[in-house]
Amino acid sequence: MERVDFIKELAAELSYKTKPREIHQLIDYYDEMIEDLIEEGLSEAEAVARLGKPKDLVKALHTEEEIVVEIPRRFHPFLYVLLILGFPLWGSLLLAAILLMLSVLLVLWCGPFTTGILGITGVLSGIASVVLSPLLITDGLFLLFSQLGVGLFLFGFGLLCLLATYRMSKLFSGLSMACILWPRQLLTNYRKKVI
Amino acid sequence: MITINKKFLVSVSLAFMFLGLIVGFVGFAMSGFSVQSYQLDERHWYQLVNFYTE
Repeated sequence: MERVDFIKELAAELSYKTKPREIHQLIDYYDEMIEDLIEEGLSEAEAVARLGKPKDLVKALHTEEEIVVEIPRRFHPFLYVLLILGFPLWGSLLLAAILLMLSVLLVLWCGPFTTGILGITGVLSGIASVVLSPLLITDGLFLLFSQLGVGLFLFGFGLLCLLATYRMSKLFSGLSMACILWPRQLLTNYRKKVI
Repeated sequence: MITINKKFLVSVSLAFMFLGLIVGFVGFAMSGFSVQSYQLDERHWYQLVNFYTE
């Protein structure tokens, strides 16, 4: 099917179910997509075939189903040469970006690490202080009460720190995953177009 | 599955801290607010609380 036939058929299919203003926007969008595919080296018929039948597209539009079209990227040999020659520049920049991302993650996780260590030591020393405090009764009642008080305080403080660690870890794990997956998503979206 | 309310845990932690402060203050008051009284001649392994004095 040729480009003009595709657009005509699409317009006819859309006219049954879509508002006239939206028809114009959709036709422009699909026309632009065909142009993109032709620019990538596909013939007009191949580009139209890649999009699918107009009837299916309209059906998918009304069911809100996503159609993903893979756009092939053809690399020129000159680009490979440029990539190899430019490695000292883009390689060091890439390394700097990776190290920057790693340092951001490291700084981000310093908070939960600190509260986690404080929490564990607080809870353990609190339990030890409370459990061992009765042994101090022979040395003086004030020592017993002091140690018991400090133990209870440390236990509460440790528990609070552990709760903070849990909350922060939950928040930061999402952020870290986003940091790690972001370059991959960028690369995938570069090669796909969602209709 | 047992679910523990996080707000409840925060309140419990704060209650422990508050109780600890009161009991600790009572102990310090019983010593006559004297830091020196915590310095025993023979310190036992189970005495975990002390004051550092030069």
